[in-house]
Amino acid sequence: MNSTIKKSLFVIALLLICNFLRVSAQITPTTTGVNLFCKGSDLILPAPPAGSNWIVRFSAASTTTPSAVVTLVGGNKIAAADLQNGYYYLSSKATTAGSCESDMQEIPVYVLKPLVPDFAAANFCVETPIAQVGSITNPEDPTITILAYQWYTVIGSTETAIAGATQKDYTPASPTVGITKYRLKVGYVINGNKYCAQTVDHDVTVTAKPSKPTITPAQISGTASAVTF
Amino acid sequence: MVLSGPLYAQLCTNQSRVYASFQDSQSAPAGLGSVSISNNAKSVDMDPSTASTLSITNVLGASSITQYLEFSTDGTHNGKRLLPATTPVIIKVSIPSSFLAVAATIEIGTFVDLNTATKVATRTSLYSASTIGLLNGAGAIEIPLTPTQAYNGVYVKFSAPVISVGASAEIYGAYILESNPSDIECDKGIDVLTGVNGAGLLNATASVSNPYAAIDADPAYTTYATINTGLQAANEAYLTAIFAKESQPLDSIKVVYDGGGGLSLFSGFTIQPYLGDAIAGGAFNNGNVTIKGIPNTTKFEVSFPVSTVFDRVKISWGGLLAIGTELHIYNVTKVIPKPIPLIDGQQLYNANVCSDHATTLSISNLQDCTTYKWYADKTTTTPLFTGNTYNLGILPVGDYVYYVESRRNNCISSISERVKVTLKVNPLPTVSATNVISCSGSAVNLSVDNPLAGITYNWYDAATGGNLKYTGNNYTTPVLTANATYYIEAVNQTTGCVSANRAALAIQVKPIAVIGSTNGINKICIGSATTLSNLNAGGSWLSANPLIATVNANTGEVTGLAAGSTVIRYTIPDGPAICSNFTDFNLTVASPPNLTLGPVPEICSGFTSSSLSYSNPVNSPVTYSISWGTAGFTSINNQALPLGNIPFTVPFDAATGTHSGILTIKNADGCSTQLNFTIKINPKPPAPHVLVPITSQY
Repeated sequence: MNSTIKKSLFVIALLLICNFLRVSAQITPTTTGVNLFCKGSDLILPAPPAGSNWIVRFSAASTTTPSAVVTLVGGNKIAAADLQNGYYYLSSKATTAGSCESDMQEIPVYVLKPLVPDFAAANFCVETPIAQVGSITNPEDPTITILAYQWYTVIGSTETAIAGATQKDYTPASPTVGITKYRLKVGYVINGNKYCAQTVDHDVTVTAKPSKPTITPAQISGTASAVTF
Repeated sequence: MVLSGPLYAQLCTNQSRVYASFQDSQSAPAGLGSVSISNNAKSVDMDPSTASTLSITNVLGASSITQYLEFSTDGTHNGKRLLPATTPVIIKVSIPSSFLAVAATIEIGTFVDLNTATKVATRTSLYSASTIGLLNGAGAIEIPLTPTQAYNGVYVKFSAPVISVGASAEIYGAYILESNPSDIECDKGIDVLTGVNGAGLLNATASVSNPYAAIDADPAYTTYATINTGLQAANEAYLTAIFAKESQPLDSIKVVYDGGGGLSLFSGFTIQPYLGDAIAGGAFNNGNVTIKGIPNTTKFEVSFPVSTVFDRVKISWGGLLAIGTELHIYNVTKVIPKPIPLIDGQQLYNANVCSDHATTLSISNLQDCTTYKWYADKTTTTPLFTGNTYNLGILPVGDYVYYVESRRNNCISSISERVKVTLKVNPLPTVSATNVISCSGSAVNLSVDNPLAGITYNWYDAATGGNLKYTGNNYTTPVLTANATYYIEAVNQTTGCVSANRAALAIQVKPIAVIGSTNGINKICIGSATTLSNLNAGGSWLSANPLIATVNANTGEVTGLAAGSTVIRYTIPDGPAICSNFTDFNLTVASPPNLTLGPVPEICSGFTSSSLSYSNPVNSPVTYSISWGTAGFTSINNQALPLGNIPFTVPFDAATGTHSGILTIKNADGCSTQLNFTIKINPKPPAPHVLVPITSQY
């Protein structure tokens, strides 16, 4: 009886260790060489060499023998819907008979889930600016806890970064009476770089002082193209 | 009529009559009567046919007359003999019918101490007057007496009643029997008794005349005794011939007679042998009698054998059918029978015998007191052999004739006719056979050398005796496992002669050579070879089907040539002491497997596994092996053959280019086929180095 219990405990412990190792092998946003993608982005490879084709395989963990072949769209694109966390292995193979597949290039990929920023437009009198308080839903928490904030005013389609407004909350410093569109842009900060910004716009009405303009907030959308504040 | 007595005991030595040779008489007349005796000397003259006559004529008194017959050594009273008591004596007398009519009496007895002057003797009466009535007939009779006291002779006292006329009796003589070393005429009659039997003797008219003619041995049969039955049907006349010596059993009686043209055996004519007065054997009858006519006469000769000893034969003639007829008896003799020969115990007069056979001639009807003499012919006087059994021994091949006669001992003329015995001595057949050699476990066909027609060959399992195994020229033995000898005799089917010896036919049965099982692989592949072996040396190898497999006759190495089965026979040949033997070994030649390899496999450098594709497997390959021509490659040995692809590994660092290998496939029969193949290791390009365009960063 004791022997059976001991054996059972051993098996359970072994499973836990294996699971830990497996989990530890999972890719993270900080994994060396990882390529960070925003959810919804395609992974587009360069065109293969002439007379060759790309062959892409996937493995959730780093390996030398990936097996799952990924179907490329157009010969060089991994559709966003198929892109997932893990390791993609890229090799080429000439189209001539008997050609050998090249060695593989490992491409670690981490797909960042989209942040969900928001703030409630807090109207105020021009003489007493009120802080616009942002609220962020961070799906990568706790993996990624450092976020980058930037407040903007948006006029038309032009946004203007508000200097110094890089915190979660922003209290307009020189408000203008009227409606001003404020924009809050939030992105992940990984290894000092910012990724996958998400924006939220709200109009804030500033009253009492007619000289103050009203800003209409606008949302930044599209792919994670580089933004300069 | 005869009376029994002890005189007739069967003796080979002759017993001859010795008559009383001295006589005297005493007359005792009475009243006016007279007595007389005439021819006194004829009662002692040693002639049984002559007699003295005693006569009495009485008128007024009862007279008698006595005659003494005294045994003497010299015929005188002085030479008288004193015969011991119990010495039998016979006295022959005749009593005419007239004697009977006057009721005369006769007294017979012995006497001693006869006083020839006073005529007085000491007499012992043995028969009184009443005895006469017992005679039951008239005629000559013999009266045997056995005195109980010593005696000099016998007397006969004849008496007549007071009134009688012409009574007389005849005294023929008295005799005793004494041994006689001389030969005598044994078969001849020496005396005759005649008379009349039956009722009415007082006036009987039957008579026998000239009786001695019946025994006179007249060879021409011109004299005869006559038996006349007279007119009284109740009477019968008889004639009894007395032989000089008693017979031996199976002697015959022969009577020559005539009776006016024929003889009816059932008409009162009887012939009855006697020994003394006792009937000896049966009277003749139709069953045993031989009657044959004497050519050119009216006479007949009747003869018949008598199974017992006899010394006389009584011929009687009378009865209703014989009334008034006469029977002439020409001769009555005793006949010694002809010997009946036996050839080797078989009653035969001629026979075929075989040259190796010791032939014996003997006599079927052997008689005592009889000598048998064997002659070369019918007339010679010097016999080849004398005795009952003539062992001729083994006679050469040829024809032989013998004659045998029987001769009664101590008799002059008692000699039979010579009987011819013919022998043909046939040669013996010969037989020969040649020994044979055979093998254990086989039946052997044996044959007679040069068999001849008409000869039967009998096969035996022993030189003598044994069991008859077969009859014929050729014999097939049972299955033999050891040496055996059979013996053949030849039998001439015509003569019955058997070969002198059985020809031995020896069969040397050699044992079958010991040969064990052949050892070796019983299944080889086309093109392959193996060597078979057998522990028993001295044999040779042979393939039953060289198209399938050949075998080296000396070494036993077999080589498969074509798929199939064949028998490889190992044979040890015949030898001086053994028989050939062989053992078969079933060898199967199997086809090697094969398959068709697919395209040359190409792998990329760094790959460690590949496979050879194949199709069309034949002859069921089941395993494979791979050897490589490139160092560092790992060989594969006898792995199960997968279907369709044969996997193998290559070194991780195998050089690019072409590498050759040998694929060996085997099937369940152990047959293998080697197939050369190559693989091509193509160079592997380096990993690409692409920069993944990152759009997530801003």
